[in-house]
Amino acid sequence: MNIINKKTILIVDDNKYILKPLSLLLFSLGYLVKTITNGKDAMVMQKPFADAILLDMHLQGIKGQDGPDICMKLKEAEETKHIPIIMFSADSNGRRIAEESGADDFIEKPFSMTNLAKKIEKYI
Amino acid sequence: MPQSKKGKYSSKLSDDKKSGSHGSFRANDDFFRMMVESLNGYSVFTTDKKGNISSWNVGSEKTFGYKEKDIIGKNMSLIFTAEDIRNSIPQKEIKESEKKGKFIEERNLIKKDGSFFWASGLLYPLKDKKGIHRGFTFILIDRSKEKEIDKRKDDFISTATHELKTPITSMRLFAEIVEKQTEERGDLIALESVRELNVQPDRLTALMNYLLDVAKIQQGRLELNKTFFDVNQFIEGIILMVKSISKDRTISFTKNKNNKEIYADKERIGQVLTNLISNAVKYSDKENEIIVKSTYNKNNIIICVQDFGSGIPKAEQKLIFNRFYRANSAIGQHISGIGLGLYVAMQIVKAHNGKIWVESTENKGSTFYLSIPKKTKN
Repeated sequence: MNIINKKTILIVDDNKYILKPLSLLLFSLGYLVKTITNGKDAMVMQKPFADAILLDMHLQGIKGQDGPDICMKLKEAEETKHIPIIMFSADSNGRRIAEESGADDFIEKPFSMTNLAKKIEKYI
Repeated sequence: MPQSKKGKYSSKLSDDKKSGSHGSFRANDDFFRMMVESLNGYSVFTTDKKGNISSWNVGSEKTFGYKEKDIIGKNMSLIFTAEDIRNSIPQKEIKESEKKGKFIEERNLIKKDGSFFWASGLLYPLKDKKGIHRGFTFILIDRSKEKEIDKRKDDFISTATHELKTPITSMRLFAEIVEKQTEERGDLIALESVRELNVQPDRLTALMNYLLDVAKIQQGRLELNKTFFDVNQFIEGIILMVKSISKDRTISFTKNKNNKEIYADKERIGQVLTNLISNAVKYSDKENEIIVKSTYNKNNIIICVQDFGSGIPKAEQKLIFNRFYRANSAIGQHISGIGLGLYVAMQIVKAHNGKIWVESTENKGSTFYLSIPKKTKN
């Protein structure tokens, strides 16, 4: 596949042990992968160009820059509100929180790549 | 709040004296009073048949903060929370104790200052020598500290299992990468091993979810999301899922033709039924079939799961629903499990106001019944 036709997925997660295998797997499925490791960077980024965003619900660090906050801001901004966001978390209440913050979908940890890939395919 | 006239206790006692039915009791009256008073760590009190308090020991004063003179004649519903009163718990308790000869009390009760504590104890019907029912005896102890320790333990399990999910996800994803690579290289032995490795996170997850459920149940946080759905379709779905894991088993299903609609938390009841069918698979031989039936009676939708396995001895039939209890036969046959499946199942069913029970004959097999109250949409 031509690189221009490849879809880009942005992963926002502060855990490199999730970030790394997830990137490798998505890459092997033919996606281009961009990663951001903290909420702060995600907020600074004016136009997070991507075809889909995978967003960890629990990001360490600064208040107001956790997964749900980022999700809400991305869904409010004109330039980004069309990008599908899939949130993930180990929290069984995660689905409700994801819905409340405007995410398009949710997947509970631990998930398999097969399940995640299916969800991504639904949106792009 | 119902309140009876003060002094009822003493007048009632003098009635008894007149009748002479308490002759020997009277002789020992002081002794008994001393004995009850000496139990100052326990709240011991009695009520009449309506639940109006007729005696109150020092332990009760300490536990609840009410002086004897202030509480005699008042109704014991005074020590219950507003919510329990709304749900008629005090009445239900005395009724239950009358019916069964005792009632085991485990709940938050209210002190005079409005604060509450975790009370644990017993409630007995009080009978005189002739066996005439006179009222009730309460024996209670403040177990708030133990309850708090228990809560901390459950919180810990909750947090720990939650924290474990992220590394498990990571393990699983890395294993998937190795699986892909091995598949491409065509190394069959390595491939089999890595596939096996990749199943383990699922097992760990199942185990953790059980622990999380137990923690939720203990904290009273088991939330139900009830909807109406077709019970036959639902059972078929669960059977298909179990069959996809245990491909060599025959699981037959007899549908009920009427009363197909059930009102329940689909996911939670699915968990219960999966547990029952998986147990049937685990505890019976491959060549024996498993029969699932959906039926109903006047008030309930009933699901039965029958196996022709080793059965459960009578003495163990109630115990298997206890937390961490594992049947001797299961341990003897080295069948894996942690003894939480049926406990969690029972709690889920209870939360639905339903029932779960077993009928079993050793060496012939067991039938588990799951019954959920009917509800109509209107």
